[in-house]
Amino acid sequence: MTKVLIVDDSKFSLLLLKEGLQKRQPEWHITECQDPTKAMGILAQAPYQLAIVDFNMPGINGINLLREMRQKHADLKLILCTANVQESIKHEARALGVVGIAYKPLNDEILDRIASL
Amino acid sequence: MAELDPLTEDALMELFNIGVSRAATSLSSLAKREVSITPPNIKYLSRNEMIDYAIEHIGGEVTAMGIEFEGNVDGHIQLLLARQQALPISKLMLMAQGLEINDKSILRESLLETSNILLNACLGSLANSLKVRFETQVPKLIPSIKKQDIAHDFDDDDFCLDWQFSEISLGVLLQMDLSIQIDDFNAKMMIYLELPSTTVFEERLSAFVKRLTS
Repeated sequence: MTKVLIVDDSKFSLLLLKEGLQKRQPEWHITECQDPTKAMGILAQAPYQLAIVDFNMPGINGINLLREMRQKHADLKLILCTANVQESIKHEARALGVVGIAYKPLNDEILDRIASL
Repeated sequence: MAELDPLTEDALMELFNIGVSRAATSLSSLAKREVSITPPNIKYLSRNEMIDYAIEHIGGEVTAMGIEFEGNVDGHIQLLLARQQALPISKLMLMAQGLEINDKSILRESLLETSNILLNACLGSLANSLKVRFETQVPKLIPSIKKQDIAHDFDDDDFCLDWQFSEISLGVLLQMDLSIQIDDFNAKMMIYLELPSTTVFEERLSAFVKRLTS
């Protein structure tokens, strides 16, 4: 079973992303995390295959969290999810080896692509 | 007050126009409705004058969602709408995603995240065109700028912010309207650039104009 962690400080975004993915991949086990400071603790408890991380969150930005995830969980697939379309952020995410950048608003095409990973 | 030269001003308005157009595309995708925009206009105001301007043009109480940013220029970008439209537009966003939810915390999150998407679409577009980077803060919601009524709709004192600024702060305000005509929703998107920090920004704008004209 694929275990997925979604980290976003917005309940609305968590809800949309979880619903959208669960519809496409009902067998996925999706964990929502609204507090980014707890994300690493969740990953330490069980093996996850995919983490989807928002960029702009209080306390820590998504790039720093992805970096930490990459260092401690080399096999974890990472996706940056953001409304921020700045090229510089895209380059930073690519440098961390993310498998994709999901730009908000998430549409069917983006959700299909995430669900196909 | 020093103002931008006409060509720089024109370039800035065009870039803002492109940014808001991108935001309108995002709003249309979220709401599954057609969204129209007005042409941009530019004003030179203090931050507090900007608030008066918003109240005057929206009428009555205003709900604001904003993001502060720093970088080659400091400022903030805001989405403003009449307070009575805040909850209905939030419900529309959820309904467009097939969700019928009346939980006020989710409705507030919906409004805030929608604004986050629109504001970042505009800001990111500006940054990419000018080849600059803006460091953004997390978005903030100000349910009502009338202090005595703050959080009336959302029952959340965490969002009671004091939206007052130093009168010394002077800047450039760019504003455009976004409308979902079928539902009669109107919002204003405003970006405010601090004038003391616009020198580098003007250089980037000039470089942008040169790239286009050379």
